[in-house]
Amino acid sequence: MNKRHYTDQQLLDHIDGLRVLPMETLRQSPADLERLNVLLKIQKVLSSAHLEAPSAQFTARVMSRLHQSVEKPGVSYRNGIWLLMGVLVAVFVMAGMLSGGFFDSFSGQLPGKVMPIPGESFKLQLPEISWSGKVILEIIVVINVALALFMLDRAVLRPYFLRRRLMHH
Amino acid sequence: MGRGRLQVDGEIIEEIYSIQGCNLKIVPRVQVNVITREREETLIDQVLGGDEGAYSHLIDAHKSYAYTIAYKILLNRPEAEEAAQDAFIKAFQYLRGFNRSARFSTWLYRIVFNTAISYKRRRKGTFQDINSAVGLSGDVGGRELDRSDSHQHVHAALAGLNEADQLAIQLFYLQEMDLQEVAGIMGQPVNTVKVRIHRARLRLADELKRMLKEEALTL
Repeated sequence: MNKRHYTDQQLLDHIDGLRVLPMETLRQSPADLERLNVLLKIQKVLSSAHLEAPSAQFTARVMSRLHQSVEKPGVSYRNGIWLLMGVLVAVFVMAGMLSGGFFDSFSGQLPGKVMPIPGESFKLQLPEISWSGKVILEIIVVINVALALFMLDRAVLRPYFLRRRLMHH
Repeated sequence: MGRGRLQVDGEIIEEIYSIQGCNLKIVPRVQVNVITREREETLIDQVLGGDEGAYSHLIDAHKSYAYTIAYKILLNRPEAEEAAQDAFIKAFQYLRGFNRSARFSTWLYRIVFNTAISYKRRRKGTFQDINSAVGLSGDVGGRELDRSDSHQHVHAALAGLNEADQLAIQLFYLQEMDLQEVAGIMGQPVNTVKVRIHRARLRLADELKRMLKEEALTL
C-alpha cells in the first residue's frame, strides 16, 4: 500500500519538468503522492521568495562614501609591513647577540625564601631558582618569530590575496 | 505574485507585485531597474573614464539583489544594508581590475557574499539583536498577514539545514538566478552547488513531513 514507485530524484525531475510521471501510477501510490505534494509545497514556497528592499537612501549613501576605505580598522598594509620589519630586525639583532655569546655571562640564582609557618616551630625553605639571560632571550626570540609570522599573515598575505581575488575574479 | 515591466528613458523598470487578500489589491514590492549588458558595459566605461555619477545607475540596478543576498546571510536589516553598501564601495574601488568577460552582477554579488560572510564572522561572539534572532525568514513586521502555515513550516525547516545549503537553495530560488550564478557567487563548483540544492530539497521535504506529522498529532 505504502510502497513507493518513484525515487526522490524522479519526483524532483517531474517537478522540474525534466520528465513526466503518469498521474495514474502516482495516484496508486499514496506515499509517492504525499512525497510529491511535500516537494511541490517546498518548490512553491521557495519560488515565491521576493527581493528585499534596501533603504531609500542606499544609493546616496554609497555615492557619498565611494572613496572611503571600507576595510575595518586594524593594522594597515603599510603599517603592517613596518611592524613586520621592526620585529624581524629585533629578531636578527637578538639572534646575533646570542650567537656572539653576549648573554652567556648573564646568569644567576634567585635566593630561595625562608617562610615561617604559623603554629609550627620549623620554617619552610623555598628552593633557589637559577636563571640564564641566554635562555630568557631565546624565549623572547621565539615569541618574536611567532609574532612576525602572525604579522606576515594578517598584514601582508591576507590583504594581498583578498586584493588579488577581487581583482581577478 | 505577479510581475510587470515598463520602459522609462531607455531603462526597463521591473515591478514585482503581490496580491493581497481577495480584492486583488496590487502592491508594488520592490522596484528593480533591469539594465542590459551593453548598457552595463557603457556605464562601467563611463565610471572608469571618471564619471563617478554613472555608478549610481549600476547601484540602482543591483542594490535589491545585493541587499537581499546580504540579508539572507546576516538576517539583520541594518547590518545587511551596511554590508551591501560596503560591497558596492569595494566594487567601485576595484572596478579597474574587473574581468570584463565575466558578468558584472556575478562579480558584484560575490563581493557582497564575501563581505556579508566577513560581517558574520566578525559578529560571532557578540550579542545578536532581537530582530536577527526572530528566525530565518526574517520577515518581521508587516508581512505576517500574507504568510501561510506552509511558509512558516518551510522556513522553520530551512533553519535546520546547514548554512551553505540554506544559502545555495535560497539564492537558487531567488528570482532569475541560475545554477552558474549561484556557484559564481558562492565561489563553489557548479556541481557542488547542484548537490547542495538537491540535498537541501530532500532534507526540507523530510523535515516538513516530520513537522506536519507532529502538528497532526497535536490536533
